[in-house]
Amino acid sequence: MKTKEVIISAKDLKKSFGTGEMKQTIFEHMNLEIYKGDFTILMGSSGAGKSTLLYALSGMDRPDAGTISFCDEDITSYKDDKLALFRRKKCGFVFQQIYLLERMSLMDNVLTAGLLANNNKKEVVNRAKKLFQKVKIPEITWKKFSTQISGGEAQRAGIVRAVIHQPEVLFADEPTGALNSNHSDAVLDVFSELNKEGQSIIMVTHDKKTALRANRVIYLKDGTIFGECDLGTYQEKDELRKKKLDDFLIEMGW
Amino acid sequence: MQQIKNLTLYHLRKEKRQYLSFGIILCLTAFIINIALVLVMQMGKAYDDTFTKLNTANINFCIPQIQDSDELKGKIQAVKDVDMIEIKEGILLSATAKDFRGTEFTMNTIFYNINEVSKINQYEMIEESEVVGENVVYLPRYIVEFGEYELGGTITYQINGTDDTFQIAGVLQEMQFGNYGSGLMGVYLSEECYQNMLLEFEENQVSIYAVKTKEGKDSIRVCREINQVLEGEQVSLHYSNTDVQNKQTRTMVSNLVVMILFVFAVIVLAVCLFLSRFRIQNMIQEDMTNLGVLKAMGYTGRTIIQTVVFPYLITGGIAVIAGILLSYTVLGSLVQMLTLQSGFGFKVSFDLLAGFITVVLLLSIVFFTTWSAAGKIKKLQPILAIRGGENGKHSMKNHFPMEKTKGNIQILLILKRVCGQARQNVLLFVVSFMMMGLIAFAGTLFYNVVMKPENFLKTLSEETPDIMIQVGEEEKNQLKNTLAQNQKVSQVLSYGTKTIKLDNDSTTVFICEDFSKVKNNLCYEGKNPENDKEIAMGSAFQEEYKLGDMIEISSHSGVVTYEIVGFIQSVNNSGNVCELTEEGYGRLKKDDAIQSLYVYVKDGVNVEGFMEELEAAHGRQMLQMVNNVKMMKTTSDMYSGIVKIAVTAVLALTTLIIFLILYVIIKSMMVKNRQELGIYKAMGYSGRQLIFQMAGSFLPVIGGASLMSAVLGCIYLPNLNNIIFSMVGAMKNYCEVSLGTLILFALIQTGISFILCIWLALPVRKISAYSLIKDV
Ligand SMILES: Nc1ncnc2c1ncn2[C@@H]1O[C@H](COP(=O)(O)OP(=O)(O)OP(=O)(O)O)[C@@H](O)[C@H]1O
Ligand SMILES: [Mg+2]
Repeated sequence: MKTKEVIISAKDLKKSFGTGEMKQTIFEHMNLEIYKGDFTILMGSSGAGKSTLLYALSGMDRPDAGTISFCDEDITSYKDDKLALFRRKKCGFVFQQIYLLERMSLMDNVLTAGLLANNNKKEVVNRAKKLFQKVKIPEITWKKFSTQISGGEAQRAGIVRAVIHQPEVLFADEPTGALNSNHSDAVLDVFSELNKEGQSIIMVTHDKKTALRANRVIYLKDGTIFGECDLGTYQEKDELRKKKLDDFLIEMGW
Repeated sequence: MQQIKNLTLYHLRKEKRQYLSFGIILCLTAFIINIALVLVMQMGKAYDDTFTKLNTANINFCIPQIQDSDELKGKIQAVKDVDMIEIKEGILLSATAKDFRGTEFTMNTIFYNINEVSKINQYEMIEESEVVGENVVYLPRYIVEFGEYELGGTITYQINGTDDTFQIAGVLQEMQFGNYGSGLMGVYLSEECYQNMLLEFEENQVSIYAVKTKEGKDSIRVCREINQVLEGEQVSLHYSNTDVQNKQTRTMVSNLVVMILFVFAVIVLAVCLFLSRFRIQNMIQEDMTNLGVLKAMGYTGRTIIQTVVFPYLITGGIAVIAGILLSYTVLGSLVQMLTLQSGFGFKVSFDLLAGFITVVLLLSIVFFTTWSAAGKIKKLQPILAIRGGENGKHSMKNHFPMEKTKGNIQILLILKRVCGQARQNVLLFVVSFMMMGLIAFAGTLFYNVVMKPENFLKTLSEETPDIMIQVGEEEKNQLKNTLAQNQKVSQVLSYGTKTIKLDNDSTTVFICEDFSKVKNNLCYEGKNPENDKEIAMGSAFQEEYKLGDMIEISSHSGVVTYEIVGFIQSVNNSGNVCELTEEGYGRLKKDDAIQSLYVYVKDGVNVEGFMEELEAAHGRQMLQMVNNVKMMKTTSDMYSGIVKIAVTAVLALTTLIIFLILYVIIKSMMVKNRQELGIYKAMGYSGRQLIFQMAGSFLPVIGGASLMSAVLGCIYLPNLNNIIFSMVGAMKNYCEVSLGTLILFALIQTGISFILCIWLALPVRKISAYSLIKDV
């Protein structure tokens, strides 16, 4: 098997919150590598520090110690503005609460991100339109506001916004956590398709069905990587993968 | 109750700084209102109390002693509503006090004998020192305090060209005359000293009538009737005044200060009102989810509203009381400064009623605005609230769709932001607008009182030449011609003041050869008299007469008729004045030409040096020469000293308040946009970009409002000034309102706001995108 290219490499990461008696260390001496092209899933019990890790890896938050090398750049040494510049080029985010900007249409939400990275308006608009079509949001909806659409539509628009600038890695924190299973499947299909086209994805989830989409599942517990499991490429109705994941999660004490 | 307490504390803790700044603003408002209220309530009362305590006469008048007789006294006693009369003797002289506040000051002064006891017009000795020697004087506090003399020290009077130095043995409070504005000062001499002076100035001996009118009778009317009697008896009247006019002149500056404070307080109050409303509405929006959860948990709307309103009431309560207490720390010195001007002093005592009014007024305003702003929580459906408020809480229009609009993404985002926050904009607009109004108000006063005091002075004073020369009739014309040809002189006017009887009242008449040449045009309606048939009347006559009316003035040679062509103001004489041309006055009194020349020097000429030259060259021709520039400075101190301080304080407070208010507003907008900022940050917008986006989106509104306010201020401020000044009797004021300066103020305000926005937004750079999104 050909060795995969490492896209993010974290060494000796430490993160804690609070001070004094309230101080709580979420993880320490954390080492982790993420590979290009992978659909990586982070799982673990609530409060295990999945979100914290995800946001540390993506440069949305700073670790207390350790280094993160992202596309061979040491982002832990970056100043705030440089980090922003870095995120602008390399990262895309999808949140559980979606967080569309309330005061603008879906299209403008997407362009707000797209035009930041690329001045060529025509190119960005065309790509946005294509992406909207891909996530099955009809043109009439593009002009609507986040409060006027369903949760599923909103999240798919959120994905379009996250990938409009062709990020190296797409980060997602429980993107289906607030959606019903119909909507949830549609959203996950988008992720799978993006991954098939080569998009690296890191996603946090609580949901076994969601985890099945990944080719690599990492389980966090007590501030460490408790275990991980290689599922191979996603296929629909693949009982073997399902069993493998079940066994893994039982072993992890899920 | 427990629930309310917990939630109230929660709100207070959550936004400590916002409540703090809200508190400071309220504290300042209370501070100002309480000062104004205490002054209004105590000053007038203290005045009246002292007036009563010293059994002050309602009417004072002064006639030559040789014309006085028991018969005259009987006739005056017989005038309707005259209750009691007391006659004192004195010596009436025009005395120039040397070293009065560092300069010379000429006042008409009555010298009394301190040993002559009286029932009416008593005085109260405030301070006394040991008597040494025989030239001993007891001065009213106005002369001592304003003239900066010391008890035990000396004062030198120049009378008819000779200097006489007296030891100041006592400071007394009297209510008969009071200050320079009353036109006459009363000074008490020791028995020995008085007799000496009497020997020297026997022809100046006068009888001073102190008249008490019957309770509640119109002293001005009685005074007129008395004057009629005097006229009938052919008695010449040197001076008369009434308690009403006296009180007005003496409290004029204090009233002006109170007026300014009130106007200021009203504007601040209005701003305060908007602010609390804005704060609450914002809080409701920010806390929508929490409120929804509370409702879902079964809290009633009422309870929740109470928890929203309570913190404001608590903050407000503490702040208002602090403001009231704080006001007493400055009230003492404020009253002292007012004493300087009014010549009567009092001790400020804690005023429960003023405090009560301040508290009730401010807290009820806070209560009603916050309660009404919070009112909509009641109607809020819990689920709607949890979901983040009513649909359509933002305008559902996608302003400047990016796909179609050309332009840089940064600018597009600023434009979108500006359009997207309509309601905030309205508030920001209103507040910036009012703030600018406040600055314009305070700034204009500051400019006209402190930076260009001539404007203020011209409003309150009369004609202002550089040098006034008294000259004998024979010499006048010659001297006038010589002076007019002098290189250093720009103009010489034959100008003077006399007293005539008008409507049975002694009235000051300003006489000038040509009113078109005067520097301070007193006329506020119509025009100045131009020929011997015309007259311009003081504002006191405006109720009785109108332009075009004919007025009859009687003189020894019969009745002369004039046409009223204008109205003039004279704050000092309560508007009881008129203007006649030299020829016009000549029709009334043939042999009584004015004997004074008003000299105006060219720019840059040293008045003092020039006067020395004149003295050397024409000393023999002149009776007296007065440096009016110096006099003006003293007069200016008299009027504007306290006003300057008040206005400077108002301007400083305004700046502080503006800073605080912008802080509150911008801060709460930042808090509200926190999550959105996080989302932008996640997308890769840098801190700097976001800061400029925020600041940039406030700029057009604040700038627009400020500029608009500046322009409107330029139009309406003169009216406000007119109202304020007319309250103290100045029908016309010279306050300049310059559009350029106001616009400059507007730009400064906008600039400060912009910097403030940036400063407040700075933390955005430091906070990670993740925590911006999360810790809402
Ligand atoms: N800003 C913060 N301040 C203090 N503690 C925090 C903060 N953010 C997270 N934590 C704590 O860190 C721990 C990990 O939080 P994190 O959000 O990473 O958990 P998670 O694994 O994503 O949980 P979940 O599955 O519920 O989302 C939690 O115990 C949480 O209380
Ligand atoms: Mg999480």
